[in-house]
Amino acid sequence: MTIQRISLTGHSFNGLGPIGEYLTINTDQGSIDCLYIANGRKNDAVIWAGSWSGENRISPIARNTALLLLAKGINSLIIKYRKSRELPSSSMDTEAGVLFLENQGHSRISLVGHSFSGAVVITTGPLRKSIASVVALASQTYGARSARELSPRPLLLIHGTNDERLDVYCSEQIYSWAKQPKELLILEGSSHSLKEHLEIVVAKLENWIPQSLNNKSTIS
Amino acid sequence: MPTYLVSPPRYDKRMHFMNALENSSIDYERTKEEYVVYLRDSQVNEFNIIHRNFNLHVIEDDPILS
Repeated sequence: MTIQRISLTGHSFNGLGPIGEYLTINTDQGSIDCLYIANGRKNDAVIWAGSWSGENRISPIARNTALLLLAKGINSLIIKYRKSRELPSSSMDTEAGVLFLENQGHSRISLVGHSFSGAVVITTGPLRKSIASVVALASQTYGARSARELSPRPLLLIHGTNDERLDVYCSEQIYSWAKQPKELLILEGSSHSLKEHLEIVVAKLENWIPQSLNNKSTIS
Repeated sequence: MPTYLVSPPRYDKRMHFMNALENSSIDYERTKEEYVVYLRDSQVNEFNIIHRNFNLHVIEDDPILS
């Protein structure tokens, strides 16, 4: 798959949202709506790709983890895709988020995506040096072959055994494609949303993301 | 080159199983139902150790692969 690249043309803050500031990132491909959760310190950040949908529907995993990471000085950008379900467009939206964060002074960025967005973050992960780690939750395999290009960035895969949409073998297959460093956490009894183990998932991300952002491997 | 179809081990062992194969430079594929393990003759002993350590169930050896 050929990934079309995206360029920023500006951005504007549009007032307070449910857990951060509403932000519009303007690009040569169109405008992307986001929520920016920041505390002023600008080094490490997380992009939650596609975790904002509908009017104010934010994934509970993104919401809860973003607030915990903020207390550790890690900012978050929650992205609403321009065209959900379109992999190239969603990857461009995610890359636009990375470019925005780089312009804000963030040098180490972790990408997190759930389901379809797992493939989005795996596709986007190799594109920028500032992307330091990738997390794919209950990911689909379509679009995830580039997992092998993520190394030396750490990759975390989490999947539930009762996933009614994407079988757990999807994450096992992605794990088999990826190189080290990589980790696979299988949650017995969890569905596609992972809601049955929300606390475990949030705790894992709260610990794993800061560690992965401190990964000393060279990304060239 | 021997090929084996292997039932997936317990959920909590799967990452370690794949790591063991990779650490032994054994090629494998995860398909929907099982793992397909491709062995060079020199890797048979190493695979036997992995087989024992992970209590693997080999469904078929040298299957006809589509």
